Amino acid sequence: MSLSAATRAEIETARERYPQARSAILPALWAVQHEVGHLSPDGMEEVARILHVTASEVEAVSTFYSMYFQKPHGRHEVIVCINVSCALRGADDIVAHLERSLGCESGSTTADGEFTWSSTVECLGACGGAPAMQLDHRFVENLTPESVDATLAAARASSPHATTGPGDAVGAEPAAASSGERRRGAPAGGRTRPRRRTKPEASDG
Amino acid sequence: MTQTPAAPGPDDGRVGVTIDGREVRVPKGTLVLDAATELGIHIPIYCAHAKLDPVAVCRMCLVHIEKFPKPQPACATTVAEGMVVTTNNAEVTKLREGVLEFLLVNHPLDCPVCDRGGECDLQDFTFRYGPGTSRFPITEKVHFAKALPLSQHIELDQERCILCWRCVRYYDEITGEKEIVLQQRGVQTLVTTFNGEQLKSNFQGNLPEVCPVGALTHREYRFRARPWELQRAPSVCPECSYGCNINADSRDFEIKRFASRDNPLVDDMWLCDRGRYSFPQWNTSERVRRPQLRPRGGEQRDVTAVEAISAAARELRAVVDQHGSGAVGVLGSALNTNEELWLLGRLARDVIGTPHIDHQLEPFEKLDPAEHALGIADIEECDALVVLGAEPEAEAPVLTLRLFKAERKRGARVHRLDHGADPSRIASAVRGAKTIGVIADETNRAHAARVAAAITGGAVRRLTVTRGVNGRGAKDMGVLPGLAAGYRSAPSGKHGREILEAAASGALRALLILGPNPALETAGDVLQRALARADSVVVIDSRPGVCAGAATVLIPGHAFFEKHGTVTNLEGRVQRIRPALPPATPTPTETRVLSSLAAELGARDWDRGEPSAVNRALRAALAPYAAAGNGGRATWVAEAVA
Amino acid sequence: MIKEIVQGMAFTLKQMLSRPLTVQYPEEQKPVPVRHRGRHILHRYDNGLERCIGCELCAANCPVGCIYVEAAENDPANPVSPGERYAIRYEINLMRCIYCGYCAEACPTEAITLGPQYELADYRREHTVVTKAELLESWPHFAQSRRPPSPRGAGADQTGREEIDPGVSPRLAWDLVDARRQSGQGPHAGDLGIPADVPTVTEPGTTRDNA
Repeated sequence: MSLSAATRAEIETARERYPQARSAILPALWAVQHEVGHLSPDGMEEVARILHVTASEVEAVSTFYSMYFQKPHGRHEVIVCINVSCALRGADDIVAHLERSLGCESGSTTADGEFTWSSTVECLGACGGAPAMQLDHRFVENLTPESVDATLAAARASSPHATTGPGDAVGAEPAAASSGERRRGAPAGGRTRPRRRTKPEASDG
Repeated sequence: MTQTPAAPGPDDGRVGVTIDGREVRVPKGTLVLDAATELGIHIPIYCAHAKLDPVAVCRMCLVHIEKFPKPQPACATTVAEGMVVTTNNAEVTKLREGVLEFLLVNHPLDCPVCDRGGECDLQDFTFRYGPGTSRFPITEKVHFAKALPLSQHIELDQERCILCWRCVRYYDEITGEKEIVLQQRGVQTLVTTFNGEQLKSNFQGNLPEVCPVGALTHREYRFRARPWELQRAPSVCPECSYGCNINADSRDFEIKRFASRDNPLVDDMWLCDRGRYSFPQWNTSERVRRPQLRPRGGEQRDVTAVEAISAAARELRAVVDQHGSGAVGVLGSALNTNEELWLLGRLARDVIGTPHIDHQLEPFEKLDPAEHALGIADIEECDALVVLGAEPEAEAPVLTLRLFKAERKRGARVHRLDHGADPSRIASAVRGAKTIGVIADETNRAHAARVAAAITGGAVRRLTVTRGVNGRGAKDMGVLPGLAAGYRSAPSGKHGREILEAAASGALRALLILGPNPALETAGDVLQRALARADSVVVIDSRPGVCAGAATVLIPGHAFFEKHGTVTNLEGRVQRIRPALPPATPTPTETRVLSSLAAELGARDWDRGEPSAVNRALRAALAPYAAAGNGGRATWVAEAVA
Repeated sequence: MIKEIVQGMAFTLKQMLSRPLTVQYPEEQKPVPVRHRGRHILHRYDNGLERCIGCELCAANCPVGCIYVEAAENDPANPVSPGERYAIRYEINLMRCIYCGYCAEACPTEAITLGPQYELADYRREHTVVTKAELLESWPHFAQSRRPPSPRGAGADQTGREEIDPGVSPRLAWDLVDARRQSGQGPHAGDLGIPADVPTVTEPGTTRDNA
């Protein structure tokens, strides 16, 4: 596997930004995830090669943060905040509603491969619009079960998640990929990213 | 706590510290943990390790220090003048109980089936400092993979891990390979490798020793024995000339594992996998057990050792009478002890009178004292190191770790160069360095000398990596053509390959071979022809092999782990080996056989040949060995060599 | 005086008329108490798996050191006991056992207990070392068999560890040689119990003089 030239350039820029190349692992992983949609062992090995660190170090970092994905996921990713502000404004109901309407538990992908959703992240930083969730890196705020349904229906009808490559068939992913497995969503990165989105040229793989 | 701090003394680079009411003066920069150890005060540790940098992640060593608002980790706090430390009050006791209670929340109750049970720090400290009960008795533990093979040597049990980071740091700080990492976070944190791949390191065997619990275990030792049943025999690893100190742990007269025995001057407690996992070969039942006479054209029969020695003497004497003493070739081995080799050298030169004696196939020119000036521990002191070819590190793998330590701790530059590299190019590469080490193997000694001569502007010291566990000892003991014990010049003779060729062509009529000598068997065809052509082949060997198979007189030897003696490593360090197993044969040990053979051949002043007596005699005869004693280095000054 | 004799005789007469306690052993045997500590039993779980996990705590706890255990790794497809480890060899030297029951107390899985069997005499010492096959509870598909005790397990002192050369003791032979050499004589094969069919070696001293 090889990353696109743009992604490589982005990683190399990040490497120059820090005194130690190891510090650039986080932005490098973001770049890879934007291009591929998830972090495959190949992708992590490539990051390790560019940054002159070992692949094991890259994987250790990528599993520590819950918004890096080690497995291919659905066409849309839904992340629901259950931190204090959102919880006070009824995030639990949203989670229960999602579990019901999507028919799978947090951390897994729906049977049709449309959505991968997660509620195990920390604060999304959208307390002003609590309860909030993040759909494909865009905030959806002041949620009610009805607005959730409407948003998901709109997403289902929209064009595919641009970061998901054509080969990423995930419909068969078992629902067991939960508790002991990878967790999704992280605070810091998630907040800064929503503005940078969609790279149609990414499907050159 | 109102204890009087130790009175400040003169500024000698030491500081006074009081621990549990007792005062001690330790060098500046000492850790509280080490200061306590000096007083004999035990502080429990998991993440701290004498050979690794402190990280203070396990919190087991928290102690109370006066004037600090909070308890401090003893493994990461350096002492200061007048510091008052308490390790045994109620606060510290409660902290320890708390840490252990947390560690045990998810630790499986595997102790009866765990290989570590009996020598496990978690077990021991729980027994000694633990709370006795848990407040989490009914919580379901977090489960991970058990019995996960990480390689052919290492088994990983992720549940048993207490996240002390020792294995991660070992790979980071000692080998630099970084193969093991901690993944995930919080209660889901687990120790693993990248993408679940297999370990590739040559030093994996150290992981189970670094691990304080039974998370990383040896597959070769899996369920073989409990630690309390093991008999420890402090000895030396027989795989190479580096001379790593080991404990040969045996149960029921079978070696179950080699455990490291820390010698900071040699192995620094790390062993390579080649050495560590070489132990099964010493348990083999394929042995020469009975003395045998196999006259050419006659019938082979078992005899007593006495008979065999008489027969050997008779055959050798017959050859000497008929063809002269120069018709006998004598071959020792780098696997023999100094005592045996010393007697063999005397037997060949003084009793039989032949100059044809060697311990390896290749010729070895005179030893230059300069080529062992660089000790193993001195490698750390060098600014630049030149390693000629891949052979030194292939022969003695633990050398790699010492080179990495020099790189990491001191910032030394290690130049790994082709053994044909141009000396002037090497000299320019190390320009600016004050102390330079040049390391080469036996075949490239001459080139290493040229390289050392070409380097100017820095102190150059050389180290030659000899072959075989006692290859250096064999040379010191004069099992070389033209060089008697102590490198005194002797009548020139044939070297190993020439001896075999001469025997094959009929020039040599008798061979006396003291084995086992794996190097000899690499000679191939010429060895077969030599053994077949010689009138008399006297073999003292522990293993049935090519030599033992072709012997006319076969006398059983004791294997490396069945006898007492000393061996000399590549830097000249003389170290004891001790028996871990009973001998597979009732025949006495080689030194007594050689002594007896000498007596049969007419030597008058030889004693019984007990290894200890032989050792005394050789120390009396060789001044460097007298100076080295047990564990010191035998260094040859220029006069002694000349 | 008379009174005491009469009392004693009366008691004797009474006992003569009561049923005797003696049983016709071995045709007739009394049941042993439930907690009788006789020969050991290795138990199984209801599904037939052995309880013993080969942890050797019984051997560690044994005050006389009569238990010998060797552990091995279970084949997950065909396990002998639950978990990773089982005892591939389990031997008890009953000649040495004092039936104290500490092994049962140490056992973490209640695999070993002391049973009711007390008829342990045998004509051969080797047979008093019981192997795992004899100790294990029988099971529908389990054939009771006697394996010979190993030469180096619990029966080490019963069977002898290493075969020794017949004839003269090697150590004795060697010391004789030493004594002779120190007194100025060479070794003499005839003194050392060397079989007659081995040709006698020329005495070294004479050969040397000839040379």
